[in-house]
Amino acid sequence: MSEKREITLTINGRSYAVRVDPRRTLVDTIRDECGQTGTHIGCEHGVCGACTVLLDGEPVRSCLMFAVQAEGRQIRTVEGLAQGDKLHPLQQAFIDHHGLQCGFCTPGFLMLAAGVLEREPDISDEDLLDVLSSNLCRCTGYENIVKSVRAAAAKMTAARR
Amino acid sequence: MTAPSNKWIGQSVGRLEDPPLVRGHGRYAGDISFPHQLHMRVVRSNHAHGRIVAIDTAAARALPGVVAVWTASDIADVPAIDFREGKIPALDPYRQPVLAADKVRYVGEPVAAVFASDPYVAEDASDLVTIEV
Repeated sequence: MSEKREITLTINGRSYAVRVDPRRTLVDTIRDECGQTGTHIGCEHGVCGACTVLLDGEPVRSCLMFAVQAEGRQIRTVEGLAQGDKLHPLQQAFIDHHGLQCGFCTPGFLMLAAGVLEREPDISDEDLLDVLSSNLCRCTGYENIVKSVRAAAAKMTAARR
Repeated sequence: MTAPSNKWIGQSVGRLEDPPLVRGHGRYAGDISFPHQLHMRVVRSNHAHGRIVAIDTAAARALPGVVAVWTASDIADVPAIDFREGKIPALDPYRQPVLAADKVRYVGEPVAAVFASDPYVAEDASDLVTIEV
């Protein structure tokens, strides 16, 4: 087996110096080495999106990346969404519109939506559906997730004006 | 007449679990981590239906970090899985074994379980288990 690498990951603005096998996935490293267990592992092969994090602002599936590939990049996870006591508009909207039940897929949906709304605040309903269809939820039936993201998008747009 | 005030009926009630869940503070089974815990990987059938001729676990056992590789014969004293309703003697012959014995009956049926000190090693070792069907 190849030698472990010493890398530094930046997660929610904080640096984590870790030693990992080159083949260790980003999600395992975020959860085990860095202790940020808010990012979940569902399918381990890029289908379910539970492990979605933002890498330099772009949503990525952290089970399909190696930790070493994320060195020097800005990683954002669900733990970094709220500002202290103040929830991110997406987090509040998921609560208000019952966009979660068991909560397992929620961090992935939140980060997916956060990345997309930052890039495209006025995203059309059709494109939003297309984006959200990339993650899986077994509880809600998606209707309330879509409702939550739309509500948050509207609130974030209103706050900018 | 004024109705007695009731904050639970006629309106949505906020869920206590939502605030921690949307912050990523939920605690799930996968978050449990103990020192020196072992990791299990299940080796599954690639066949929809077939007789098991042989299972070779030698290469998997030889991999450093592997603690055990179990097949049906290693857990012969573990009973088959009862139905959800509980024990129903008439259905006993139709219960699924924990690990397939003699026969596999669907793609994905558990055939062997590999235990290792590291999940990546457990996965490597599971690739080394060969099942002749």
